[in-house]
Amino acid sequence: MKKRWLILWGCLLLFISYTVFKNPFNTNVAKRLEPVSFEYWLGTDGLGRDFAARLFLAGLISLGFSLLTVLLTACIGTCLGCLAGFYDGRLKHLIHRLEDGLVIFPDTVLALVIAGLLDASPQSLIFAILLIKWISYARLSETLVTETMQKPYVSMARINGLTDSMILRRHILPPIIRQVVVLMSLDVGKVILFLSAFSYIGLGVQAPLPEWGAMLNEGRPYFSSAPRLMLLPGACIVLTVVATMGWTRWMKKKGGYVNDSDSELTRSGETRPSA
Amino acid sequence: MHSIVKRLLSLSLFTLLITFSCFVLLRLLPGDPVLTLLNIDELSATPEQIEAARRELGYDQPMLVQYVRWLQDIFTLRLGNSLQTGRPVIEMLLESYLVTGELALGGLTIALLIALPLGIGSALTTRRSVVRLAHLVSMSGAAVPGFWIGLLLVDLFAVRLGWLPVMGREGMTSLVLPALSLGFPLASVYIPLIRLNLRRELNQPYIELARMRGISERTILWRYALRGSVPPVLSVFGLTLGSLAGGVVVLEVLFAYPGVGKLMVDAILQRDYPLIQGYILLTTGVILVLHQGIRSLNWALRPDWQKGTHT
Repeated sequence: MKKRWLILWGCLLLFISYTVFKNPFNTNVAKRLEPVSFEYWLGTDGLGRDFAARLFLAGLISLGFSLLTVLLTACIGTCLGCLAGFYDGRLKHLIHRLEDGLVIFPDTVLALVIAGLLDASPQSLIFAILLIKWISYARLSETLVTETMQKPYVSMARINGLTDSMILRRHILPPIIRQVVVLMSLDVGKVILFLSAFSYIGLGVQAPLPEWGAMLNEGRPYFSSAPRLMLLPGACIVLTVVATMGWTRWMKKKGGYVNDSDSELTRSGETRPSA
Repeated sequence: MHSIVKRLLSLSLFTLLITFSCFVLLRLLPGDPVLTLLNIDELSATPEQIEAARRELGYDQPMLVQYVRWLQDIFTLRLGNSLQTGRPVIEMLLESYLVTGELALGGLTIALLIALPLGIGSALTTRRSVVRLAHLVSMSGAAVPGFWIGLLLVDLFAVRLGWLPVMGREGMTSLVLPALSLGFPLASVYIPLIRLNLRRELNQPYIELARMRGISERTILWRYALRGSVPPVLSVFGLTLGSLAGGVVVLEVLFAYPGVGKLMVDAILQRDYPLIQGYILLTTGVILVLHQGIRSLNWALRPDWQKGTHT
């Protein structure tokens, strides 16, 4: 296990230093579409930019964007869900109405509308994803909170005079966080797919910043002469998404989820041993 | 009957609310449609020209007046004219909805052709290879971006082999590649869904009872289990239909297919406000109606759901 991490960090360091040495933004028209060589590890693209460096930077951008978005979404969704579960009444009702109103809107439609209202940029994409995805976090955490509230230790804590915020922080949040993290790890891959699709049509990450979907669009004219410009970014997307899926699976196993179905999150009851 | 009227009323109120907030947002935010229309930056167009264009389009009026004027447009079913082409928005939108519908139908057909046999098969069989295959297909469909499949398919079948057109919309053959690249990711959602729900239904006690009464396995599967497992699948199907109604954005752009998604991407890039407003209004309406339709269908199939909070 240790060795594997060492190799991973080594590769990362190697790529970072490569990207730093070969500026991914430097265009060199004399060296367009260079083949794979020692100088250019994966050749150059249609504007003579180093392809390997761009590919790596694109990966960092995709991952960073995705992690940021998912983190933001999970925070907001979980907070609202906890509030709805903890405080019965008007607030809960309001949050439910909001969920019901938004849940029917598909993410692509909402992203299009928001790009139309605001601007074609990653920020509006984040906003669109936020508007859609917080619902699943809110619903998950609300169910969990209502479930946890019935546990005897919560009544015990209340009898002992703990304040609401302390009960929430100490007794209710910790078990929720674990489940939320599993959901988050699944969403990271989905958001990467979403971002690449919108960057492909020009409504996501804007040039000159590289992004895998945008790179697919840039490489399209050169498909027959340099197929690697189309194959590699796509393969990177697929590998990253598969990796997040595998990571989710591993976390489910670790965190007491039982992988009952292929995709459904089913929580193991106390009676069932975790797989 | 009364409840339907009430529902319709609340739906139209909701739609009105959406139109108003979108309208206000569009006007408050930066980006001037008049400048984009004149297609020149502030330096080269004289202020008089800009002012004249603004007056001609009615953008010099107060916001509320503009909104009321747009509402009039809605009730005359014209939705105003597009800033870029000058044609009625409703005409452009309906035209592209038809194209998107065609594409969606093709994609759904492919998705069902993949998902139904694999989903039902993997739920019924105990053979490992079938289950593995279903799992593999659904995993890869979820991980591979549809537009990448589209690009690779175009390269293989259109560019290298020359069997099918590269892009555009001429006849049935141009529908094959977009439908394939739409259907494969769609199928990935339905394979596990069908499998899970069918398995759950087959484990219900009433199926065991039917077996004991000597009802044939085939009848049990087709009349009982499949029917019972339809509503959850149908709910997700409603969401899919909704997202298709908004346009198959990326694939339409990729294949230069003149559907709603492509129309909107162009409208956004050119800040064609009447078109964007019309899209928001119509798509919201379509999605709401679809959602309500699916819900009513589920109530008919599973009356016990009406009491719960299922949607």
